[in-house]
Amino acid sequence: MANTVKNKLFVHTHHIGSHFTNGLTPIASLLVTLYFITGDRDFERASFYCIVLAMVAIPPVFFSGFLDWLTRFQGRPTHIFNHKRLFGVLFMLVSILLVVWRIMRPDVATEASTLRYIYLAMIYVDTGFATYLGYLGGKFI
Amino acid sequence: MRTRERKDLERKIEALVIAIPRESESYDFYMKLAAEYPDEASKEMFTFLANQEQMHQEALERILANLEEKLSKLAR
Repeated sequence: MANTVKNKLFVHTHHIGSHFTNGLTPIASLLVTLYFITGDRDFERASFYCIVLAMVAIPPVFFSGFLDWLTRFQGRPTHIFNHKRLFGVLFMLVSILLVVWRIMRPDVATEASTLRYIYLAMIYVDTGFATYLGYLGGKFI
Repeated sequence: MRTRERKDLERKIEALVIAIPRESESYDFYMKLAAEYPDEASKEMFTFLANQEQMHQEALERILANLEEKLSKLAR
């Protein structure tokens, strides 16, 4: 009984949290794209806040998913779970890197340098990770 | 050929690994409903459905064990 409650807690934390990360990351992409099109810095700032919120949500999502895999799926290392783990770690790392970079260099997306395109590309890559993880998660529904 | 056979087995195992918890959750769901309904007819129906899910789970676990054994033999 206690195990069932614990398992349900992991599943629900994972499902609820992953909607935050999967919702916020594409919005961050959209907002930073709007900044590049319009030049309005508010879009870039809003994009950064979305990445911060997604980054905060990733660790509980990752660890609840990991514990759910260990309990409900007995830790079986199949293709889907291996990819979920690998891309989950990459998603977390790129998000942390983006936030740290933007905090240390607030003008990274706005100054005229090639770095702004790397920053932009990283947000798109992060969105790719979130999309792929959402696709893998959808296989369980 | 062996690689293809191995991949095929891994895909089947993955499908079962995902399916087994669903059967177990369905069992819990029907048993909960059986406990919630006061009338005998509803209790009987939900208990019957729960038992069906339990049988599915047991069947899937047997198939999974069989496939895992085949996979380990292939890896040797």
